[in-house]
Amino acid sequence: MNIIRRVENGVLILELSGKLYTPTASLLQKEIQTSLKETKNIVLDFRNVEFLASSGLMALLNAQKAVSQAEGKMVIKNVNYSVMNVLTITGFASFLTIEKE
Amino acid sequence: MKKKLQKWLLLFFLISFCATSALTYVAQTKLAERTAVLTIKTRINYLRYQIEAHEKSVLSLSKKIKEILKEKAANLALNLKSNPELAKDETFLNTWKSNNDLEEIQIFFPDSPKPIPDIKIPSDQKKKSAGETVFLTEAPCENKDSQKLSAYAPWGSDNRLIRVSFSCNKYQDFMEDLSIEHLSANLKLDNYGRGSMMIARNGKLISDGNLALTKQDLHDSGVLRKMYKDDEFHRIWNKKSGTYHAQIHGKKVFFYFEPYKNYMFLGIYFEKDLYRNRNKVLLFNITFLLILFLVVYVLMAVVLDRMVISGIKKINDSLKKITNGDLNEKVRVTTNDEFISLSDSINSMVDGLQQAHQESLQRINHELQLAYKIQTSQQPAVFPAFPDQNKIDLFALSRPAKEVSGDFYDFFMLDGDPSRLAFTIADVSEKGIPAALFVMTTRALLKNLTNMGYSPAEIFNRINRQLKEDNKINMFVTAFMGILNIDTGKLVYVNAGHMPPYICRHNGKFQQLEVDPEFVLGAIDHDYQQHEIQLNYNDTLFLYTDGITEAEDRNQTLFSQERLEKLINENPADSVQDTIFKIKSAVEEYEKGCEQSDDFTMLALRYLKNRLYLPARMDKIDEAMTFVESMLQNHSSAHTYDVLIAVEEIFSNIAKYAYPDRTEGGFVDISCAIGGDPVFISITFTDSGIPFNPLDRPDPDITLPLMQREPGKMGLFMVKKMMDSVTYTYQNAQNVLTIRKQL
Repeated sequence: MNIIRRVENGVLILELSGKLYTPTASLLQKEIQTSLKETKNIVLDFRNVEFLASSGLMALLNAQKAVSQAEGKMVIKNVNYSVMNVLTITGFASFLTIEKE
Repeated sequence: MKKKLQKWLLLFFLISFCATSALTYVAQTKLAERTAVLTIKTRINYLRYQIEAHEKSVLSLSKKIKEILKEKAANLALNLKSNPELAKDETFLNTWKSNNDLEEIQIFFPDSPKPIPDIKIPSDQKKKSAGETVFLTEAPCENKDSQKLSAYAPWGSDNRLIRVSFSCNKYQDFMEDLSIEHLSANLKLDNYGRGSMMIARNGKLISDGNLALTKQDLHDSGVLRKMYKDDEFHRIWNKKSGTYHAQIHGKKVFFYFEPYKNYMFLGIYFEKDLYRNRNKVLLFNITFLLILFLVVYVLMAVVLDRMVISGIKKINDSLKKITNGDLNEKVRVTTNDEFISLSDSINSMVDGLQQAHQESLQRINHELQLAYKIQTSQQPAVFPAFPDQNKIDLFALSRPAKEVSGDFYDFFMLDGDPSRLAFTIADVSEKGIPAALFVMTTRALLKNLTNMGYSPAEIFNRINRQLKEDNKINMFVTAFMGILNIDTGKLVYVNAGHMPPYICRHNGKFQQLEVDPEFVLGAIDHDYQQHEIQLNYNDTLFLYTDGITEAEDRNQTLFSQERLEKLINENPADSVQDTIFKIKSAVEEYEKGCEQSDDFTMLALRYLKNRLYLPARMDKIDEAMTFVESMLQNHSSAHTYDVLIAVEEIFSNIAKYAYPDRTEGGFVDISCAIGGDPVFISITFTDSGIPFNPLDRPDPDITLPLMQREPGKMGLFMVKKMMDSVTYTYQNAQNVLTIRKQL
């Protein structure tokens, strides 16, 4: 999985691509922890995420916890149908801030 | 042939040369001798003439002598008549005798003691008085030493007589001396001093031709014996003339002798003189002939070579080509009519032969085609081989060298056991029809024994025994066979002296399968050992015969194992069909321009069965997912994503928790089945880790806010949610979890 960082209007955007699953979940977690040292608000661009497994969900959960602790805000956008399905089944969809197109 | 002809030609010329030379020698010798004889004869005629002339003068001389004698007698008679006293005066008589060069004087008178010889005086002379002489001689003065030439004269009455005598011999010697001097002036036979004349008379050599020869020399040389009737001491000449070759004082001489009256003429030539001309002529002739013959010989040899030998050689070369099987060779020798007709005959013969050959070739070809058809019809050649299942991908190809092949491959599902695939590749030591028959036997045995359920080792043991028993021509087979359980991937194989196949595992490189090179089939008793390996998803086997590695290029360099390895490893992931076609065209390209040296056969098998055996490690998770993804490749479905998530969740779960005690971890066996109508996929995960039934666990409360959730419970929940069914059993100390999803 690749993560590209970019700042747009003072907001940090992390562009994820590839599979978010067991081998890559920790990457996302680390990235968010580093990012929180600079900013509280993070946007996760899921446009190129093709696969989301439970370990990915856990990474998102931990990220959300960390952001919340820092009183920041985490937004996920551009989620495709399959990933959305996972988020829905697991009930994550209701608790994460998912921005629809 | 050319050399032989030249030898004979040379021999012929040598003989001709020798014969001509010998003939010239003889002819020239005869000519020289005849010329010599002719010269001598001419001289002899001359001598004869001289002798005759001489004899005439001798005759007239003797007449004169007789007159002189008569005169002397008359004178003495007149003296005695006038002075009878003197008749008894011896002194007077002796003086008279010597003065008149007389041999003898005798006086007869009536009272003399000497009887008056009874001389018959011719009556007309009796009346003669003193001073008148009567010449009386007893005979011609020849050959009688004692004879004398005598004259009588009366010197008074009473029969008083005197006789005065010349000795005959003395007279003759005188004559002879004259003649020798006379004749010897002309004893040389020609102006160059060659040849001499010798003259003998009455057995006495009167002229030696200035050669300082004696009668003894002539005797020693043997010529005398030829000249005389009996021996040299008789004076009777042989009446014949003749020639004689002899040696005198070490020099070769040639004689011609001819008797004449009491003479013997002897012409004599030293041979070196006699033959000088002959030798000159001979030398010239021989030199000339030698050059002539050499020129003619060389000319003839060249002409013969042009006309005959080169033609024969051309024909011979063509015949050699024809004998070596080139029936398209044409003989074209147009040197002369004979060769043209010979060429035509040979050509028409070869044409006939070629026609017959073509006919028989066609027949054989037809039969070979038939044999080829039978062989190929037995060899499965329709691909994909097993279209109704996707557990294996198999391709095979055989290229025969001589219509029928000594190679073969075979593969088939065992009768009554659709999960077991038998495959084999084999190479008979020979080629052509006999090898094909051997192949058929082997193939039939192999198929029957396999279908009877024997293990590969047992199959080979039995085939070996059977082939060995019937093998009268010492053929043998190298073979590899395997039986693959396409459900489990278990491969049992046995090798009888065949090249070890290549195997490519886990998407790595092709490497030779480790297998003992056991003994070939059909030669000796042998107990074959079988081996067993586990084939995994995407493992590929490549089997081949030595026709591949031993294909030769124009320089007779082998294609070689290295080249083959390089080629199959260029892209190990190619489909088996692509791999085989790639090798085939590479080998054919390699052989371009040479006769195909061997038949070749290849068989490649890729195990695609929906089963993956993996170490239970997190880094293998992609392999597990790729495997399942490939299973779903042909079944596009909206649920692919769900299935892959399930696989990810279950595999990571096992990797994380199933083998907590073992540092190196355990294995996971993933097997897939796709089928049914509507199509569903079923995936079974088997591990021998700690027993764990995911279904026992309560589902997490998904209504809880995220902050209150525990991590790690979500995965299996997702699986249950997304799959149509999830089942778990624990059997044989293994966790068996099966998920199922309609596609």
